[in-house]
Parts: sequence; structure tokens; C-alpha cells
Amino acid sequence: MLRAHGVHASAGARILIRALALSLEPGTVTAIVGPNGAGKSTLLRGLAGLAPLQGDVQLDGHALTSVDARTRARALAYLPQRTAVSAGLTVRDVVRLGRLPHRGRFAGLSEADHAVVDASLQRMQVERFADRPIHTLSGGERQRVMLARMLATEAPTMLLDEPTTALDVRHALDLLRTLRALADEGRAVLVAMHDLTHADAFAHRVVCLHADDQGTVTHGPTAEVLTPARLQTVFEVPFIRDGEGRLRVCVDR
Amino acid sequence: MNRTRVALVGGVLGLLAALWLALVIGPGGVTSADAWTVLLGGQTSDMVRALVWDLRLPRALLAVVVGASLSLAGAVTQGLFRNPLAEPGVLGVSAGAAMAGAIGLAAGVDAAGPWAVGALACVGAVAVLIALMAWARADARLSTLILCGVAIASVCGAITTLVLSFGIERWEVAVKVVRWLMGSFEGRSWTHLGVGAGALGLGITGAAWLRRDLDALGLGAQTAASLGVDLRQTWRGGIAVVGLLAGVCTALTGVIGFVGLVVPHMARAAVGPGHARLLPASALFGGALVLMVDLVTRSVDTLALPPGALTSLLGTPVFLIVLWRLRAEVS
Repeated sequence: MLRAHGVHASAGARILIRALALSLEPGTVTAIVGPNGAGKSTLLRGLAGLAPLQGDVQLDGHALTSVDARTRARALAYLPQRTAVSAGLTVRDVVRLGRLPHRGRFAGLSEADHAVVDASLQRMQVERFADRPIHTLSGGERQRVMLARMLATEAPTMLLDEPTTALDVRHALDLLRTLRALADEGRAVLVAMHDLTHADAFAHRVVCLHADDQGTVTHGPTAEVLTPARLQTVFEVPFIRDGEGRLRVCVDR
Repeated sequence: MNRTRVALVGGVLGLLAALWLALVIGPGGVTSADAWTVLLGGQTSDMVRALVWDLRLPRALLAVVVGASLSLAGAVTQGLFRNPLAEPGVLGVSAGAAMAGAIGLAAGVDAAGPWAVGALACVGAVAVLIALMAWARADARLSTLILCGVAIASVCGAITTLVLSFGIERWEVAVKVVRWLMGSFEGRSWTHLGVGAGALGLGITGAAWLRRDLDALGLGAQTAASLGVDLRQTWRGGIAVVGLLAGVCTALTGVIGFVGLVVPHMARAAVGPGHARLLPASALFGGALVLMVDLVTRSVDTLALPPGALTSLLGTPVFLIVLWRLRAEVS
């Protein structure tokens, strides 16, 4: 399990994050929200162990920086904002790369590896086009393949950086439902996202980066963090909660 | 038989056929039977033995080794930089090797032994790769890396020309440098072959060690790192492999461009993008191709045609075709 406290990040003179404490519990979806440039990607990359992050980040009780890369890769699956896949790689090739942290340098894929790859393809319902080149897929299909690649690592914690940005609203909702289902199966999911109504609907907990240059961060259960008053302050956009308690954005021309 | 197998069997047969032609083509009337006799260690005339064993066989094998090395270097470069247009020739790595070697030759380091120029060429190649890598980390777009390579190649070319113009006072030095720069498979001995084969062996070992990391880089540096790939180590390993192969090849036979670009594309079409197959297939096809190029240059026997000139003539159209197919991505 990934736990962090005293996390601090800055960009030049601007403090992005001050004294954030966070622990990613199995079975929960945690959303990171905040305006552009608030430090969502910085935080996510740091928690994934891919960029330095000030503060105490622990993976299963060990300092993340001291964990060797393969062990880390088996515990934390990470999806960057954009994945530029080399031409010619098929869906199956991509998902097989998820087994990399489980294989020795010169070892091929074992029976068990193939079984996990097949299961991951099936779980994400992409086995139909397993042998198609990835660049022939639509955006929604592509992201499902990326999720299958993450599942193939068998990592209990999944970190995703704006996975729905390139998707239309139906496919975005499909993806978020899938993430929620993966959490329900016992994984911890941390996802940076822009759409606050989506965060409200799908996340158990929310980390809101205020982007106020003081490093203010609000973190807690979704309904407590995503209040119309706070969103007005942070995003300068009016939100309301409707009769059923759902977050709504008030759009004015 | 699937496409992969057809391509690999075709490559092996093409290579063997070209090797055979390399032994029997040319003046001296060497027959197939003569060639067999020499290879099996039987009794033949001294002239036939000298032609086959001392001249043609090492030259042919060196062409195979150089072709395999350059193609392997090209495949590793393309994977490392995630750039289908990358190749030691296009990126100025070979030009850097040539410049370093030319400076060394003009300064007379070859007096220390034939290895000295080769070692300097490797240093030049590695220096260019380090500069490129620094650039690529700051700006990963396809086109800027290629432009950076073009700029480096032209600077290296200019410095090489300067070296020559200073050296023109001492005629024999200038001739030595020009000859070395033009490159050739002519008159290459078993010693040259040994150096090339040794570098290729090390290169193959390094490439095999890197292959999964190169596969992972196909999903981008961030994703590769998240899958446990040590990017710094991969880049260092890749630079060492490409620098060694490009440097040694340049030192042995001059700048031979475009082989490293064209052959990995042929290999990718035949065996797919996975490096476990792509790297050996590139080496195989590259060895066969450069040997065939050398057969062509040898049969035009009135000219001492440098092999690099012919590969550039043949390779440039392929480069442009690849560029055209990638135009959306490059712009």
C-alpha cells in the first residue's frame, strides 16, 4: 500500500503542494483535481516513483526511493497522460509489456505470464482485437488496452494521469465505471482528472490542489471536499448540488 | 510457413549465395570446386589459395560483419530514440567518428597502432550520441532530433574538411586521410575482420541485454520507467553499443550511411517490432545487403567505388519514402 505524508512540491517560487498526507486504501478510488498547472501530474509521477517528490512516501512500509525499480513496478501501475505507442505494436504486444517487471532480463514469457495477459485482455474486453496494431483502435478501445497493460502487471495500486481526457463523454464514463469496478475488486486507484462532476460521481475520496501558490490542498471524502463554495474559490466557476445531491456545473455564456 | 520464417530463411539463403559469389566472382578463374577445396583445406595452386583465403574470404566476411553491425546499431538507435528515422549515419554519429578518426590520422596517432584510429572513432561516435541524447531528453519530437543530427553531421564534416585543408601541405597525410574517409572493403585482412567481429560480438551481447528495455521504450519513456526499466542505464548501454559499432565500422570501412536506417525497416516488416526478433533479423539482413553492395562495387572493377557512396545512392530514396509515410508524425 502507498502512504505519503509531509509531501511538498513547488514550481519556481510557487508552492504547489504543502504538507499533503495521503494513503491509498485498497477498494477506493481517489481523484486528484485542480486547475491546470496545479501539480496533479507532478504529484502522480512522484507517487509513482518516477520523479523526485519531497516528503515521506512509503510503499508497503519501505521508503519508495529505496524500493528497487522492478519491485516498485509490480506494486504500482502507472498510466501517463499520453502514451505514444511505436508503430506496429499489436494490442497483445502492449499488454505483454505489462509482464516485464515479472520477468528476468533474458527470460521469455512463461505459461503463467501468458495466462495473466489473456486474463487481462479478457477483463478489459479487448481480446477480440488482440492481434490488431494498436494505432488502428479508437480512443476508447486504446485506453482499455492501456488498462489491460496495467492489469497485466498485477499491481494492487493503479495511478492514472487524466485517462479520460481524449475520450468522448460516453467512453469517459465507461472508463470511470471500469476503474470503480477495479477498485471494488480490491485495488487502490488514484486518478488525476479534470471533470469535477465525474470525480464527484466515481471517487470515494478527493485530493483538491488549490493552485493558490501557497500549496493549499484539501483531502478527504468526496462530498466534504467538492463543496460548491470550495470549487468557487479554487476554479472560479459556480457549482451547485441538485436535489439528489449530485454535483452540477452552472454554465453561463 | 509464416512471413517471419520465409524472411529469415530467405535472408540466410541470400547471405550464403552472396558469400559463394564473393569467392568465385572476379579475375583469376576461381571455380566453385577450387573454392571448396580451399575452404576444406585441400591442395590448390598458391594463387587460388591467395585469392580465396587471403583476399576474398576476409573481405566478404568483413562486409557481412560491417553490414550486420551497422544494421544492429540502426535498430538499437531507432528503439533508443523512439525514432524511425534515427540511424548512426543520419544522426551524425558516423560523421563524428569520421571526424575524430581524421583528426587522429592527421596528427599521426596511427603510428601507435591501427587500433588507435578505431578507438578515436569510437570516442567521436559516443560524443555525438551523448550530445544527441541530451537534446532528445529536452525535446523528443522526431523532426528536431533529425535536424540536430543534421547540424552535428555538418559541423563534423566541416571540421574534417578543415583538417584536410591543413593537411594538404603534407600530401601523403592528406591522401591517407582521404583514403580512410572514403572507406573501402579493398585489401582488408583477417586482422580487420577480427576487430570488426569482436566489436559485433560485444554489440550483439549488449543489444541482447537491452532488448526488453527497448521493447518497453516503445510505450514511451514514462511508461517504460513505470515498468521497472532503468532509463539512465538503458541510455548508457545503448550509447555504448551504438558508439562501439558505428565507431569500429567507420574506422574499418569508412562512413557507410543509410544501411542502419533501411535494414531495420525491412526487418520490422518481416518479423514485427519486438526486439527479440528485430535485432537478429536486422543483423542478418544487413550482413547480406552490404555483402551484395560490395559484390556490385567489386564488379565495377575500373572504379574504386567506395561502398558508402553506393549505399547512400540506394538508401536516400528509402529514407525519403519513410519520411513521406511518417509526414504526419514528423510535422
